[in-house]
Amino acid sequence: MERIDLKKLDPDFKHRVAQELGGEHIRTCYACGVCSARCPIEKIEPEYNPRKIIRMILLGMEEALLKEEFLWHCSTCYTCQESCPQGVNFTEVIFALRNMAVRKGLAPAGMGAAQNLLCRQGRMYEVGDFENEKRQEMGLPKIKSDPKDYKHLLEKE
Amino acid sequence: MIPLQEFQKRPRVLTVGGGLTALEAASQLIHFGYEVLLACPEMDMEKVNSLLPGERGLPDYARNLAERLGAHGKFSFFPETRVNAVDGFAGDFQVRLTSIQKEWNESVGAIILAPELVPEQKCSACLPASSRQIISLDRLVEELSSPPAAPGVVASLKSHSYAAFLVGLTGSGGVADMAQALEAAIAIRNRLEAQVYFFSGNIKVAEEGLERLYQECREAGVVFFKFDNERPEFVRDGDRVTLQFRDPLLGQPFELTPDLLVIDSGHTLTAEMQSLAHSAQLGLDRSGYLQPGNVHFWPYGLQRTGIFAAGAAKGPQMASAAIEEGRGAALAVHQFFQGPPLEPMDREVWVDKGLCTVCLTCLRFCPHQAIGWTHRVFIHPLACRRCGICAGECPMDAIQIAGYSDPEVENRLADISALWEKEAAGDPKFIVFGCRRSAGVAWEEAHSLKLIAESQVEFIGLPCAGKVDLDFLLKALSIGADGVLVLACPEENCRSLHGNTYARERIAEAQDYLEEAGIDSQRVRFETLSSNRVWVLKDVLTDFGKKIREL
Repeated sequence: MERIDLKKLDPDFKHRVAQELGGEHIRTCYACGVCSARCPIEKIEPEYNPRKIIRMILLGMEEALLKEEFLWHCSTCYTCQESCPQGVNFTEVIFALRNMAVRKGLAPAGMGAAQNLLCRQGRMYEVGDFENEKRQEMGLPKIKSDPKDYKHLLEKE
Repeated sequence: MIPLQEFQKRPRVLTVGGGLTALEAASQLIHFGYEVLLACPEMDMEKVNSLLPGERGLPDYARNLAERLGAHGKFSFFPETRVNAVDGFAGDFQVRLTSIQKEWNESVGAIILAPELVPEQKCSACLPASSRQIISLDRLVEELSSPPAAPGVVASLKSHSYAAFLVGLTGSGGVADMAQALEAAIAIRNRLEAQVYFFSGNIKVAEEGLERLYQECREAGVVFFKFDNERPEFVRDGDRVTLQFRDPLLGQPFELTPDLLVIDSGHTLTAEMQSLAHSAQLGLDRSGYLQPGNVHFWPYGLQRTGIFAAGAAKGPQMASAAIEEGRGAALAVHQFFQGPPLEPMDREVWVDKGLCTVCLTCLRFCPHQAIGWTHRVFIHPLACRRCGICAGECPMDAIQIAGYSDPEVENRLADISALWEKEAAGDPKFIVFGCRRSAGVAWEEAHSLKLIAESQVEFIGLPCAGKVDLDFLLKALSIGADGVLVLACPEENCRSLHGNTYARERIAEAQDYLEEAGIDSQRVRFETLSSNRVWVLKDVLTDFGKKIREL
């Protein structure tokens, strides 16, 4: 690993994350690691490590962090947030980081595709005849794709 | 015995120290009605208040205290006076005092040692020659408390500079240093909007307000690097020092060339106090502070009865603890004066006049300095803590302790021998000698839990493992024991400081004798054991039994 000069990092990054909704308590983290220990994603994908992500925020490693694909691995189960003794709302922090990444145009290509899907049909998965027939059998009404609201939301960004 | 009236408790107390702890102790003792002598090693009374930086309100408190005390008839104050030597026993010490003008003796009943610490530059050795970038924590605190415009290292820094703090990485780094460093870090951060990086070992927050301060530092944006074993390396380039280190959490190597590098200084006892502790046999702990690292002496005791340690002398402390320490030590002294009266102890511990040759082995070995001699040896009833180390060491067996005297132990061995004769042979027979405070407790518990698998094991409790006598070991073997085990307290945990070490040495000696006589020395074994380690006791016994079977 190459040696990094702390002066080349952005020490204000942590303050900017703290200004994002849900990121307020990021600086109180004392790295106990409960978040990582209880994270179900970390068990399958060790690259995604909440404690390390917080450390990267505190050290100001903005560039390296925002372009990481693992930011998008979080399943938002909120276990980390529930178990944090310092009140760091880590799941919210992940949302904040994702928002920051999107603003910088750093979201992975797959996320763009998902966004297009939502715009087009209002759902991630298209509801076709097969699903509607099933619904009919169960006495549920048919669904039509109506992306109106999503379009409104997503086009704002 | 020395007639009892020759021992006494003089209601006079010598307090040594120039800080708030010493003042508070003196004031409390006056309140209890004792005559108090206050010897300040370095400073005079007026300077006392300047000793307490950072605690608003306390200097006034100290000044008032000093004024009130000064007016009291039972109070004598000796500025710039050192204690050179301490002789005598609890209740009747003779101390040698030296000031610039004179040297004289005083007789006091008890002594409180509450000296202040002096800064020590720990890191000078580990750093390249000092540079303008580097400042000691003490100096930084001084600069921060003077007006912002005053010239100095801080005033010469631009805003948004980079500052690095190194705390507790080169020495112990107590809570007091930590508090100072955290306060300074937040001040630098706020005053210069500096980027502050804090490198330390464990962040110590076990003192009032420290956790909050630490949290404030984090909120303000101070970044902490906590190291376990390693520490940043210093790379020098011309006048600049660069820190190179690996972040313990990310494993990623980093470097930083700070504009300001603050290094904690550490605090130590003055050289005079250290030599007094040495000559009066008071012992220092591993970091060089008073009160050996031994929980049994807490909070104010030392291994000599009648001498107490208080305040920063036991290790750097927060200024806010100074008053409490002073009061506590005064109470401990009061307790000593109110405590057990002087009573003849010849039914507890005695020296046989006919056997004693005044070789003074006992005097040299006594960890509590409880033995004196005139034309013969005597044991001081207040100073003696009944550990029996002297009795164990005495080459003439002239010193005996009730309950553990040679005839009593021999009778016990005879009983055991009779018991063994009745039982059928089979399991190996062995005798365990142990300190009644550690091994004795563990033994009882193991017994009640029925953990002791070996059937023919007998335990003989001793007041301290240091009492174990060579004769005991050999006699135990001679009555038919297949092995002898001696259990002492773990290292640095003996109430009599060295009892366990002496026991270990004596076992080694016994093993040599056995080898010489052609007996396998493994039949005698030394182990350490604390009172709560019942399962370890079980394992030790089983293992020893196995070994004995093999032999």
